[in-house]
Amino acid sequence: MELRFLEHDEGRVKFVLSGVDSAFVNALRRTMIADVPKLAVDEVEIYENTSLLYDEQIALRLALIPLRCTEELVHPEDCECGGKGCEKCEVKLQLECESPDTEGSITIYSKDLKPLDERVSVVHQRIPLIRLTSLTKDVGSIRMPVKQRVSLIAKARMGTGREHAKWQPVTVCGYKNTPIIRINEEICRGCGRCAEECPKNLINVREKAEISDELSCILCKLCENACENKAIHVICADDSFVFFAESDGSLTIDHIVTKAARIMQRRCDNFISELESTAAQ
Amino acid sequence: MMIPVRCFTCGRVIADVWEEFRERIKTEEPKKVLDDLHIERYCCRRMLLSHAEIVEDIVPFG
Ligand code: SF4
Ligand code: SF4
Ligand SMILES: [Zn+2]
Ligand SMILES: [Zn+2]
Repeated sequence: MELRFLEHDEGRVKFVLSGVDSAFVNALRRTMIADVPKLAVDEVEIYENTSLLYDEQIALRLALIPLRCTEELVHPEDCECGGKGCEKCEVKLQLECESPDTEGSITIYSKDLKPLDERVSVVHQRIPLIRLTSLTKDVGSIRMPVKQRVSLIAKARMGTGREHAKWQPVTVCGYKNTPIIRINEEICRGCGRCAEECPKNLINVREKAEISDELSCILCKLCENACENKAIHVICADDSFVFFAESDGSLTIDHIVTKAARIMQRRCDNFISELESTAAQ
Repeated sequence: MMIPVRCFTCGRVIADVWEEFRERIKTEEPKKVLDDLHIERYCCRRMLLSHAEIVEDIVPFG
């Protein structure tokens, strides 16, 4: 197994993984999407909501906000409290907001969501959550100000993408077979048809066709079909993959990849011990 | 009604750049603004390009 990084920072990673089969990379991909736990708002207690959004709409918007936590909480199902909610498996956030005193509107942002626990923080500050408007209405001969208010407590818990997409730690997460492009220099006439067809503009033709950035090829094989002489061939390597993943911001991409690998390892360990205990019987 | 928090297709958070996008396209080319804001994929780009903010319009009916 060989690993080579092409891109790597806190939020995204792109690497070439060679010497493995597609079953392994696909298992890694699926584990990253469905089994790496992260924090998201799961239950909302709404005390007051006179805004234009329904309770459900607000709850949905809250659930989609990426949250970061300094320590890894326990999944409520595995917690000693039995899933009722305690310090170890739950964090609370509060939202108290009101439309302006005079006629007009304000936008409530994700930064107005106040964590009631110092371990948790909101990653993106400027996600518009709710729009609150103050109006004046004439009631008989009196002009009455009508204000809108929202007051709620949101409870965030750990979960996995298998349960709900709000707990999925990655956005884009996938791979392709490493492309290998072969040009037969003896039959290539340098006509440039392949270069015209390539949607990624990877082919330059001077005297013969040349490839500039092989790994960006999307394996569409348009170049192959365009070449009348059959001088160009695009091959998918079956033991090498270009893997790409992007975090939604709540966890670092390093954490997601290593955690996914650990989960796969733990599953295999469980399988081995199960095998051994069954064989011993 | 309000800008969706995330892209429907890939799940990237896009709402945090909405207000900047809305202000900047008044004077700049949308393509350039999207590139500047690092909105790369076309699934996320269409979220911003095709959004109509109508939350203000329904205030009288609220
Ligand atoms: S289309 Fe075929 S012959 Fe023409 S430049 Fe490309 S590879 Fe060479
Ligand atoms: S397979 Fe498609 S992307 Fe790759 S070099 Fe050929 S035309 Fe370009
Ligand atoms: Zn608990
Ligand atoms: Zn997208």
